[in-house]
Amino acid sequence: MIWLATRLAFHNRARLLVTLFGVVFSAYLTLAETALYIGMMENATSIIRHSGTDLWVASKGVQNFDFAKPFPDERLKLIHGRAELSWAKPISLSWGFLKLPDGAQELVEIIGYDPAAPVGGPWDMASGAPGDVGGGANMIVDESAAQRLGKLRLGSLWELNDRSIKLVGVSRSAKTFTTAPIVFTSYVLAQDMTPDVSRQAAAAYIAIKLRNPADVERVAKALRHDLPDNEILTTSAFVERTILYWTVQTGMGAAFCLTAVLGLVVGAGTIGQTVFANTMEHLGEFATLKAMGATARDLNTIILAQAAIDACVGFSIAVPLALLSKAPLEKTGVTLAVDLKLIAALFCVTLAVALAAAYFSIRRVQNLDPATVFRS
Amino acid sequence: MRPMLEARALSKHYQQGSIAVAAVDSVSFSVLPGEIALIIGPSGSGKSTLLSMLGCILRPTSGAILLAGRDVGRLSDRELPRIRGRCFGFVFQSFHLFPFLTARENVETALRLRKVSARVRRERTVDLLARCGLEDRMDFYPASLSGGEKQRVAIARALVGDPFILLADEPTACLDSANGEIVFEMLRHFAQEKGKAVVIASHDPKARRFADRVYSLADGRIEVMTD
Repeated sequence: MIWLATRLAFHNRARLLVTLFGVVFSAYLTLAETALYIGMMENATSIIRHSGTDLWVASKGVQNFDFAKPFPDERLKLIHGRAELSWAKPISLSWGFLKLPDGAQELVEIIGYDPAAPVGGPWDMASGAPGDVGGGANMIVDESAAQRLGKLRLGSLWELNDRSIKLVGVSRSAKTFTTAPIVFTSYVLAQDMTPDVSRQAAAAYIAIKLRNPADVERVAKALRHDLPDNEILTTSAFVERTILYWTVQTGMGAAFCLTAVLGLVVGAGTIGQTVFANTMEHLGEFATLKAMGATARDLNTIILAQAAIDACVGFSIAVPLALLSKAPLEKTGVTLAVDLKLIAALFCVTLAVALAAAYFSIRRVQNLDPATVFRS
Repeated sequence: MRPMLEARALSKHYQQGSIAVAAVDSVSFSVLPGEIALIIGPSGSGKSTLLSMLGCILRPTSGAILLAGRDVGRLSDRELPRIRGRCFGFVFQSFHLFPFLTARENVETALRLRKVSARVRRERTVDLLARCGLEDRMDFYPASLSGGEKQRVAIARALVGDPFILLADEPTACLDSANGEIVFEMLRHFAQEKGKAVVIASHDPKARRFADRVYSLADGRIEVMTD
């Protein structure tokens, strides 16, 4: 019966084209919105997820990585010497202005870390090494910032917060939700450059790496006891909290969700309308099939297969379009996180919505009296 | 000889407000293997309703329908499509061909519904269409066929599944005289050669020449029966 459905779907080419236009638009909208949302959440949590940290010591009530409230870094002493810790290093986070060659200034997020430690710094380098920021006024800038900052040439001198600083490395995939370029420096230099004196000798986080990551919950509990004025978060808990903040508290999640759902509704409407119009146009043929002995299952298969064909063809056009728009969008700093898992998941959702949209056609054919074939 | 198809006191009543209208009223009818039974009567006399009930498409209000001695009137909704597909072939006044399929595909559809293999489907379809004189029209869509060709395709579709009974509703109403003759010849050939039963509802006076029995229907009742 799928054969019959295919012939029926492709019989009226003009209608098929109109349907596909609607389905492609809807699938693209849903795919792009979801990928955009995931991309933003990946950016918002990229440093948390990749900086090699098992536990984060943060100020109480921290909501996300970018908006940290500093606390005295001497609290580090309270946990030093714990046998379970492999590393415990402070990370500073501040905002500054990087002067561009044309004299303009660009707001950047400055992350200060200990270049000797394997936590808190860049994790994927295009050139240079994370340890290169040590021993002077050096910085590593993420390659995603090249669009805004211009050419990132190793050894070039820049001006950050009115201080000369040398570019010693270029990192990859270090982004934030705000899309502001990330500049990595040593913790010491970052402290020194902070114009706010109250923030000097203050850490945004203490990044902890455990000897045995399996002990994470037990160590977190112990640290909560040692540092009652701080919040101790596992990496996964910090990721969840950051996502929750950007999704719920800013209302951004609802906006993205609404657009993605609207995309699905447009798709469902288009497919439902087309399949219904096709069904109504061919009621005589459905009645004939019923008279000829087609079962309810045969007829349902014809209708559902038409909806599935519309969804599959439309979706398979929308996916390359989304992939094609990935690179141009990413040049503007927007991450479109399209991967196989997302494509598979959204395909299932699109297919399910398309099949559900065929409900009214199925009802119409189920109630169709095959005796109408004898009435001319 | 046992009738291939038999109706016993078959009635179909429709409720119109508080009044029950009898479309078919206590009709008894039978057709033997190899016979052509003709039902004649004016428009609105109940011919189509009777054919629908005989073909297990419409459930009677009362009475029995026996198919080779088996009462099929009380079969479940799940069983009826199977009986229709295996035992009956239908030919309709306005052909009811699928416009988006070629002549060959139209005929094959009947076999696809019965899950017949592709090779057998193709062989039987091509053979039957050739015997209907349509060997050079097999890949034409209905829109490109004449009325007579369309009805021959419809007859081929009805016969390709080798049904026991063929029910034809005004099969020549949309055809000219010459094509009408061809269609009746085909139906007679099917009945006599294969020993199958054919029931025709028709206004066409030529139909009497081909019929073994003639039932005259008026106001839902059989008035005259001639052998």
